Amino acid sequence: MGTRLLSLALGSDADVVAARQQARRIAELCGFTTQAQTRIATAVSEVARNAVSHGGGGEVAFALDGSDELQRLEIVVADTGPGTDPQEALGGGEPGPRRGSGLVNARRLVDHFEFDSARGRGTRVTLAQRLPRGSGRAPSASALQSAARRLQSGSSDPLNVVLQQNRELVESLAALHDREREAARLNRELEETNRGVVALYSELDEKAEQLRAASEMKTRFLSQMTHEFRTPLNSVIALSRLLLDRVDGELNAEQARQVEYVRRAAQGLLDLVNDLLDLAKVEAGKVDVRPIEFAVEDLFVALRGALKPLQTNPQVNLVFRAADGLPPVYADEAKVAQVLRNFIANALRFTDSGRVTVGAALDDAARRLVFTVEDTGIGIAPEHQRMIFDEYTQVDSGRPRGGTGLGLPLCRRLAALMGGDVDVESEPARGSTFRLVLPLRFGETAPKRDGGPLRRLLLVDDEESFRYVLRHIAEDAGLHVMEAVDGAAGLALAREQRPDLVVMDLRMPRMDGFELLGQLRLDPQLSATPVIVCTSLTLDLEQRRGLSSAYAIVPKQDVARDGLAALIASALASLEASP
Amino acid sequence: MTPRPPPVLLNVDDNEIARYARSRTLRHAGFEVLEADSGTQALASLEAREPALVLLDVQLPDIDGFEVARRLTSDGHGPNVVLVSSRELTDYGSLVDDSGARGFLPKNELTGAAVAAVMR
Repeated sequence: MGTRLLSLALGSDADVVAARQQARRIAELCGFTTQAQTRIATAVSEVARNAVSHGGGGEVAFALDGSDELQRLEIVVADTGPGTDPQEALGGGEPGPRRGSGLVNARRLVDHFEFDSARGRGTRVTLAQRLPRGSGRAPSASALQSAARRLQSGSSDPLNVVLQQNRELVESLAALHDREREAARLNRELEETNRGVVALYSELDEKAEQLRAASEMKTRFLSQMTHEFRTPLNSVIALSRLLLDRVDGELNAEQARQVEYVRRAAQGLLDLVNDLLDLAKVEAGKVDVRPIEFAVEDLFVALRGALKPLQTNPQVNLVFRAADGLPPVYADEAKVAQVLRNFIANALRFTDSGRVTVGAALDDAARRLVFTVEDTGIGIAPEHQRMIFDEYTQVDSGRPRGGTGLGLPLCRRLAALMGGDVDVESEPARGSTFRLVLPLRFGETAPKRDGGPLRRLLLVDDEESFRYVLRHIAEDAGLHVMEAVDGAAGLALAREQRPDLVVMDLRMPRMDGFELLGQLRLDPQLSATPVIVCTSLTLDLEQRRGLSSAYAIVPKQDVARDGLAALIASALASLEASP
Repeated sequence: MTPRPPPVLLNVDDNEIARYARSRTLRHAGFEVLEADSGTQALASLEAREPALVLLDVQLPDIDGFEVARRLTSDGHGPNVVLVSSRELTDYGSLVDDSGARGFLPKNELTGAAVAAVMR
């Protein structure tokens, strides 16, 4: 105990009243608020009453304790009674005239409460309350001591005591009333905010709908226009061809050159129009995947023939690696060829000397086939590597080499349609390797194991319509589907249920997909669970890095039934390969 | 042995430039080519002379190509019809199959060799 301020004997009910009064005054001297004064006075009076009625009297002592920074008012009430079992004294909050009820109340009123009692040793209760800081009224211990002594000599007229207690009661009631009013006001404010949020959501829905409609219109317009472009371009090409074939007479060397340029320019324009048209079709969901079984070797032979005309630079060798050891692939051969043609044409365009090597390898564990097109060309700076797959962006160095800038975005979309993905590894001045990763068998559903547990997919997306679509795709693929409407709920469900696979959105309330993915990776039991990200966000490089532990990232607009089923199947197959 | 007369084609397209380019290319490849610039004209010209093959643009100003193909092939004795378009076959779903046409060629693939292949 620190500086003793004052102590009072406790013998009668009048002493209890006096103890309460002194407690309140000392609390006031210490700078406590009126409410805190009342709390302390009440706690002291409860404990003192116990000492008088159960302990046969005793003493209450007030003291200051602790350093300057953390001073507290300490009050010790000790009796010499029979003592009791603390368990019994404080055990429950049951109402009634038990010894304990007053103590339980007192314990709620102060910062610190210590009960020390045993049968035959009396009872000692210590109450303590931290002095208010920064009140500017922190009195010195000695000042308090002398003030307390003055208090002790003062009278304790019962009427004054009652009046004082009445004042305290009125103040408490007034404070309570203020709080109720404040709570009601906060409630109203919250309700208003809620209404605002609801309105905002419906406005957002409306805006999203308008955007969808505008995007559809753009796609329709693009598709219509590109068709209109094709007819005259085809005519220009056919007519130049007639001239170049000397159908109606000889051309001199300059004329032949000019007509050849006309033909080439028209062909370039037609290529651009065709790429645009393909992109517009994929965007509009009008492209179907038509899988057939074919040998990679045959595809390479066909590609070699088709790409001959592009090999105009004798300094560059186009090499196809042997692919005869690979199993047959079940995929849309035309689309695979289209992607590889694009990769190879790009590689040839950006390689001045060296070689362009086309190969394929089986990733048996994941049941995926990986096509690679490797060049020794100018390479791509790291900050551009993901951008080149986004529509309508053109990396600085790209333009002078020709090409439409639409080929790679188209490749990405075609790959996604087939349940695969494209990526690139590159080093400036050293070369680039483009990869097309495809499931070995398009649309193959998860292998159903006899008697084995059903594979379980957790779907985390706040967009109900998307969950609906995905649930059907996944259930048709033989999966059990669990749904969560935001990241936090998804995390809780993942921890509880341990799904085999997670499909999630990025933009979600409460916890976004980036954080959810991070949290899953931190959980040792979920760190290897494949996660497929389905998002309508356009991701920058930084964001893609943040998602590097995802199994795949699929733009929502590219989600097609068969493609997603294939992706889910290959994710589950990868799981089976590395249990 | 006298050389066989060249096969006769009817080239139907309302776009004059495209029609000319195609006719000239096919004549150069050894075909005899008749022309029509509408569905009605195509049907009428068949009264005068029956071609071995009709190259029929899908988009015509009066009757669309599918309908013309249906009328030409409905009695089972008409000429072979190949529909021609700047769109792709897949854009039309089952319309081409249902029209009675024997085949489909995208406009940019319309060469003498391609036509000869369809006629075999």
